[in-house]
Amino acid sequence: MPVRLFVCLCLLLASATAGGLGFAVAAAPSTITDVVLAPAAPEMLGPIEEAGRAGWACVPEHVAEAKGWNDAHLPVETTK
Amino acid sequence: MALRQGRLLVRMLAVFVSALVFFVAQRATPFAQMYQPTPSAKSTDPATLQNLAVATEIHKRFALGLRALELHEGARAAGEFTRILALHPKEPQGSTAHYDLGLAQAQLGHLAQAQTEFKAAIELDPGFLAAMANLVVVALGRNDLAAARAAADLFLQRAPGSARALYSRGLVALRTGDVATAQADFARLTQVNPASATAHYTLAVAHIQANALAEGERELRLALDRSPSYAAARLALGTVLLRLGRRDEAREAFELAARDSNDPAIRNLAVSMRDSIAGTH
Repeated sequence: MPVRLFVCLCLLLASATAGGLGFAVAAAPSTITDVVLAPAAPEMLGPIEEAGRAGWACVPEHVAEAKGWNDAHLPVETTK
Repeated sequence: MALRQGRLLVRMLAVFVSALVFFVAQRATPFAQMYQPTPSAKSTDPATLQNLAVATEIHKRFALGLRALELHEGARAAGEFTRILALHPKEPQGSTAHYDLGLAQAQLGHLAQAQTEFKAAIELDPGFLAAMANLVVVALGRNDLAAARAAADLFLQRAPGSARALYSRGLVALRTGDVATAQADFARLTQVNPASATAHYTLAVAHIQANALAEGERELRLALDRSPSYAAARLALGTVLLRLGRRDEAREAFELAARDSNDPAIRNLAVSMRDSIAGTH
């Protein structure tokens, strides 16, 4: 096969692949949103001392019942 | 005469001092015991001594186990808490040991065992919110969505106002396709936390998944009002605008997302989507 023809075929194949990929990306934004942009799970709460969760200083239990977003140590993803 | 009186005085003084020392010694012993830092057994009863030995061992192993957790030495921590549980501690030490053992297992990557330990903690202490919270996280990590949903429902039932309970349940609902529950839970979160950009973002994701694109756009714009460089929200907005047929606005959103993102995956995706729109123009 002539080199020129071979190079043209490769370029054609690459373009078709890129175009197909672009089409797929443009055509399936909902799938991408679901996968890439899904909200993250929160981090696990930390250890509890021997006195247990009922102590006034038990941070993990307070975090678990907190009403505020930051007090509950929920993900803050605004830097992504 | 004076000498005799002096000797008599000395003898009387010696008797007085002896009596005083005896009296003080009798009274001082209970005070000394009150201020002793380590309780000492007042009994030679074998059962009492055995209980004291077990209590001391539990106390020391908790300290060692917590220190190991702090140092991310999961294996050592697991050993300590396993030994504590073998001593059949009373509450709250029992549920607490199960909880901390769950954390140790999670550190080791043994999520199934971690899930078991958090469940055991809740069985011993049905109001243990921190254990419920961690149980949801671990179950999600294992993709055990049924267990995650059960734990999240229980968590929310026990703590209806808890932000973490709402978020966890909403997240599980999203993953299982129960978009109505996700929308409701995240909406409650935004009502309590209107200033949180991420709260609006999570609600937007639920709306988008429910195909409520107008509502999704609204929440994403609220998120971006609160945090203009929130690249993930900007990227999501671009996908919504694209689905609504507003290609020029979508392209601009992807451009901004690519510019603002610190996350390579989001940046590359934004660039790909921007370029795909340009390619099909």
